[in-house]
Amino acid sequence: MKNGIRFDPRTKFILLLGVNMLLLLSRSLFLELALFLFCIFILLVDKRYKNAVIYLIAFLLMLFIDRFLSGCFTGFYFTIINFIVYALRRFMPCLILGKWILDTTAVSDFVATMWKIKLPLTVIIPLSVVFRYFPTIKEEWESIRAAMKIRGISFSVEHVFVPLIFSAVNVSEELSAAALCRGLDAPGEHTSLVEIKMSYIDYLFLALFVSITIAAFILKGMGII
Amino acid sequence: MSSNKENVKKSRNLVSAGVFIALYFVVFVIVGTICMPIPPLYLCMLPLIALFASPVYQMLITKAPMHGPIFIAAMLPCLFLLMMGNIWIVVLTGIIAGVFAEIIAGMGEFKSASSNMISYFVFSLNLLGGFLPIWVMREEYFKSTLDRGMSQDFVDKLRAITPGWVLIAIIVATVICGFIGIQIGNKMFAKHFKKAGIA
Repeated sequence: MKNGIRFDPRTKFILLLGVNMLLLLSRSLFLELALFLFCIFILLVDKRYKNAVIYLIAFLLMLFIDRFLSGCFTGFYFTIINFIVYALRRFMPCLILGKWILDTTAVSDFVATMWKIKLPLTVIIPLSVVFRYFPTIKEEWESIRAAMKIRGISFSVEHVFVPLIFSAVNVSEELSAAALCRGLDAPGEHTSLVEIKMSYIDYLFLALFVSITIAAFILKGMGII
Repeated sequence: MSSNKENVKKSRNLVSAGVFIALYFVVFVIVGTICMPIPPLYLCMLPLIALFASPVYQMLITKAPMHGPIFIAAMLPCLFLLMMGNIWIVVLTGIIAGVFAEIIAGMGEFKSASSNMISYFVFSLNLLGGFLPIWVMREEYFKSTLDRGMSQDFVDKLRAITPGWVLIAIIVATVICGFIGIQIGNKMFAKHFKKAGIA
């Protein structure tokens, strides 16, 4: 990555899952704020200042709607809107982390991680194909639409799906020939340009998250949150 | 030598599987982006995906008749939803749906039409966990509004428009739409793919 500190993809995923589970532990504002600030802190360390500010404003706005406006306005529709805002706010830490993972993890990082954690080939091969095939689908889609326009065919499921599946079958044959030539199924260890390694920053943030979790459970046990 | 050939065939199947998993994911994204912003349509998401994804699923099973790809196809949208800030239960239902769809399709050796159909029904329920937060969050929200002195009346009204039977309705509608989807898929296969010799 060109800026910020590089996190290990494994750390990112553990944090996402951990925050997601911890979020449902309690509905206290205190825990919510702690998790939210933890996510903002990650963004700051990764030098994503703009995103951090946007999230902070959105969070404060949603908190304001929930805490203050609900006292002024009453009414059925406002209750529904408030409910949606409430649910969105509660899941905001997950949203922040998810967006962060999508932004900062390149496909090659992801594939290298899969080799590193020694997933079976049955998982690695399809998944590496999936991410590289998306741009092709877009191209195929545009060509199909153009061909339909020339022939004056109106949009229907059959007219889209049949050529799309035909092209997918062809692509899959070409792709497997190319991949086999490059030794995709070669036995033994595969090397990669991208090196996946846990660094001090990964351990630091995992430790921070574990301490938040322990603190949350202790406070929960004491009945404070 | 023969084991090498077997290996090549397996890798080839896996690459095809990847292509069709990607197509399935695209169907999910397109239906999802149409349905997500509109609350009543949001609940129709699962049946709509079940309706449209069946030709892709049938092609996936035909081209990659093995264990693994179905599970990945079921998991991928769930992981995506998890990244978009959904609750972790969605991963759990994804795993359950994926494993059972694998087992059911495997019982017919990935060739029997009826077991493939049933596995498709199970497979289509992979995102069910994504809808649970509506009910989980609802109870939580009710508690927090009652804490702050909102009237019970509102809570009852909100409860009335999100009844629990909607969840069962989603499951039933998904199975029905999956059945219709499979019929459309079968017609497509007979009309185009079998003739062209790729199925």
